[in-house]
Amino acid sequence: MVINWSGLDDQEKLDLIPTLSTTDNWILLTQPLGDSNKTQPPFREATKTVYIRAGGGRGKMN
Amino acid sequence: MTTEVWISTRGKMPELTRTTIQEALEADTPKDTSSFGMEDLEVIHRSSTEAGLLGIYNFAGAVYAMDGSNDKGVMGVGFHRLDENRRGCCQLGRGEEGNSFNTAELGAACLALEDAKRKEDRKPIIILSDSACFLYSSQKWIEEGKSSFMWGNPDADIMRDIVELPRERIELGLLTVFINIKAHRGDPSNELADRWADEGRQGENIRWSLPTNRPIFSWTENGITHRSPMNPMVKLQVARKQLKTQTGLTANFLNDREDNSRDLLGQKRMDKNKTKGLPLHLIPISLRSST
Repeated sequence: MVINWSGLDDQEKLDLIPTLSTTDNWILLTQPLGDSNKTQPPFREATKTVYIRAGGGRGKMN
Repeated sequence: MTTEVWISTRGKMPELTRTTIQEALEADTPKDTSSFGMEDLEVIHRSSTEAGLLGIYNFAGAVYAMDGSNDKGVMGVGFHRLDENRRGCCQLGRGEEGNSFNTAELGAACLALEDAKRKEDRKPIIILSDSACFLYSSQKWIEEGKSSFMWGNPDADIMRDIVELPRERIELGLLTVFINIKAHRGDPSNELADRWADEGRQGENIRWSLPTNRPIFSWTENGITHRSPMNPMVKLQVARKQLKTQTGLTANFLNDREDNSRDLLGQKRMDKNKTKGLPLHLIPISLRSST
């Protein structure tokens, strides 16, 4: 399941977190992150695996 | 733009998935895919589109999606019949008379109606169009109480067929429904029709190519030459040119006269501002603003 995390509002994110925390068959896509960026998945069970620059190269995180 | 991809700390992303996501994110096409797959997510997605919410994908009759394409000076039209996965497309002629999206949409509707006529399966049909403009332009032929004329209609030859084909279906007691859906919102039927319209634009099958013998106007703007029959855009271009020319003439005319209204007005304003001896255009701004 691929989820556009940035396209969800805060309530939708809160509703999804319990399900996402207990499963591992999902992929979240977010916009570029910053310390104050609320689009960062706010739960510990998520780990960033890759970032992709459209039209550019790909950066691998792990 | 950078996109970050997150997975569960307990999960692992296969390289194939990683590559697929990358390709999808890096694709520079602005159009959605037109998948009609039967996987769960595809079915859910389809049922959440505008046509899906209207229940059109469960319609017992035939559903046509139609679209027109107008790009690089060439018009194409296409349709896709969902229940039989049948499609058709062609290029529209008369490109030298100028292109319009409405002409392309009219051609697409005509192709779909012709296909329904050839099929002779007496099924009710729904035709999905993303052009409200097309529906408005054909609406006046459907409603009662109006006297509509083909005279002056730039696409009269296509419109005649569009009026005639549903009329034949009505006489046979067959239902024909046009529905307007929004373009490029992920509706697979709309995307399929869009692809076929693009295909038609590049094809060699050309229809509706007889000239209408309307005068064609051309003008150059920013180095690009445009051609079009008389329409609001041409009128605007003419008005712009006239404005440029006549502004100069009017100014010269007024300036050359000693007792023209501009001078009188200036005199009146100068008296009011106690700035005798100064022509109007030299009145200080501060004095002007005080009047």
